[in-house]
Amino acid sequence: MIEQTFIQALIDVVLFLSLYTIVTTALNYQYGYTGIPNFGLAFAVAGGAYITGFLPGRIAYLIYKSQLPDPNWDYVKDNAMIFMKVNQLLAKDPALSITLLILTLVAAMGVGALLGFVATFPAVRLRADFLMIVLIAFAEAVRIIGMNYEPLAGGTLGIGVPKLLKWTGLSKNVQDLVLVAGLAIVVVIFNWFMLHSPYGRLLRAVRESEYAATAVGKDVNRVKMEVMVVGSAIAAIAGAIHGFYLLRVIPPAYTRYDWTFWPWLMLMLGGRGSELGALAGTSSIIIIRRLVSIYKHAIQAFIPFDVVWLERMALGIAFLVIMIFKPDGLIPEKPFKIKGLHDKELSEDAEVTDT
Amino acid sequence: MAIAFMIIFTQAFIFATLLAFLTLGFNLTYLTARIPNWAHGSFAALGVYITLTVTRVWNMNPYYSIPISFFVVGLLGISVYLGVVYTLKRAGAPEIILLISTLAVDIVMTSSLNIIADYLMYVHKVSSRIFILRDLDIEIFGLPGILVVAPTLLAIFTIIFSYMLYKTKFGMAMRGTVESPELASILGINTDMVNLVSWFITGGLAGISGALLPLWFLSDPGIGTMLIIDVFAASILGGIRSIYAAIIGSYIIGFAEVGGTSLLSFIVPEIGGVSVSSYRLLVPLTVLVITLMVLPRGLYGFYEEYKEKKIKPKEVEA
Repeated sequence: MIEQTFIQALIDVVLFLSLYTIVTTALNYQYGYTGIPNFGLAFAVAGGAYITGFLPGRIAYLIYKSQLPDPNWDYVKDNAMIFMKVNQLLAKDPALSITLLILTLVAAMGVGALLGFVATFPAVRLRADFLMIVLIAFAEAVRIIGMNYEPLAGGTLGIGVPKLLKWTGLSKNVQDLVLVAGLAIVVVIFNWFMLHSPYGRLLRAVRESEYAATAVGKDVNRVKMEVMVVGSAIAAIAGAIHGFYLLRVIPPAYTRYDWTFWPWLMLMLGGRGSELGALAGTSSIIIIRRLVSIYKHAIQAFIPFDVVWLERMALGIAFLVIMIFKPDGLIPEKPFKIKGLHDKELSEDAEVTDT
Repeated sequence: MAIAFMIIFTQAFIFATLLAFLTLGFNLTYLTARIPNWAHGSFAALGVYITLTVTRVWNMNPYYSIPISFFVVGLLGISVYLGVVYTLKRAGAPEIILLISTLAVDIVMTSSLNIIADYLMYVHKVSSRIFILRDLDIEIFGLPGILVVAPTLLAIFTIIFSYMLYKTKFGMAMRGTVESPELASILGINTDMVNLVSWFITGGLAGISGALLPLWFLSDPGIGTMLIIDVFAASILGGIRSIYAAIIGSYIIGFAEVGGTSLLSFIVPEIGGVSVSSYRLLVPLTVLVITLMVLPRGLYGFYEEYKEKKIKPKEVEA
């Protein structure tokens, strides 16, 4: 029994690690490499999640409408009953399941990209401090719309998500691990290749000095737009698979604490602009939070308030401590070494010291 | 209909006045310390809980909470400046880190306020979430007390503050720091002192605003986040570089938000099955985005440009 709990806890850690790795990778791409302080990360995650709540279930419902016990069921109101039947039917229909899964992921990326594109308008015009506030407010607006506009993702109660991998016959844990961890690995590899290309150097050039980048003929605003669009699309994947993992999309859950501030803390702890740092920061915080969540209920009996607030307070204090004592993070960004160029520089230095 | 309109007008007017206190302080810290203080809304939220404690735990008149809030939140402002902003500035942190630090302060404060709210609920059996204290307000000349007290305080404060800024030596030092902190410190002005005073005033103003808020509006530990978006919109709309423009911006935002949503819910009561007022936060956000696109320096910037255009030809003639 204890063994089983332990394995379940381990699987949960791996799943959340993968989910947050995707989000911190997107953030590292936007803030770490390009220097856009995207404090509205949650809007992309929420956008992706809303699509998971909106699209696959509804398409499956429309296709199977004639086979439902009562064709007059309302998609939002009778959601639970619809899904009982739809999940049974989907389990026998791998082709439709796969199509829906891919369609949802693509649509979620599309919506993320679209939201990122909308956020570009302030991103290229505003100074960093104003931009941060506008993006926080933007994410809050996306959450408010999701919470109040029920046809989108069920409002405050949320909406079910169909089981699209049931036809494989694997257990739910294995399905999740394959889907979530698989996508996380794809995102990390994609990110690594992108950053070790000339494009990665262009991003850092924009971060270091927009004027210098403009002077060598680079379109800084275009680069920022691309980064916002691609980064938000990546973050939206996390939102979409979070929905598949929980089998439910609950709009009020996409708060700025869970999907903006925690990823930011992970990135700042690990070290902005460093791939290893992002991974290290994400894993250490996920593990700490998981351990705390096991023991926090033990403290509850001794304090006259909800223990959740202590965790949130720790989040704020951790931010301050990292910023004051370790601003570069655990694994600071290493300067780029380019073959040929840096060898030459070294030899030039040597000459100077000789003379 | 007329009565309903009057109620909406009163509500919007009070909200706008309380917002003006906040925006004034927000602009003041922006001008002296050069950071938009995201924790500003939570400063007001602390004032809210001071009022709750004064009225429900100590059973006193809510207006006693104004001076207490002013000093407590003012001291909190000073400690945030010394403990966080000043420390980071001395370590050479860039602007963006300073802003993130105020966000972190906001997170710490919101969770502390939630702890206070839980404590008041469990220990003192006070309803401390989504509460309103309208029944405790006194009547002055047949009007709700807050309708008299809030604008009077705002007027008195603006007059004192203008006098201090333009007629005293410290005010001159303050204006010097606003123009150029480096130059001011070269001339022997203690800019740290100026910053300290401005953070105290900022905190104090937020405290007053928060102390009066629960008398008329639903309050909650998370109210600060809602307020800061209004404050930011008002500040950008008025012009972040002017203290008086903050008041104008606040009145526009206050009326647009409270008045606008209330009127809209008369005309279209429901959108997608939910009342219009749920979308209230979208009003300041829309104003914010439009202002940043069309008038990035706000109404004050518009006024400055107008003034420059008017003066320039004369200078050329001379």
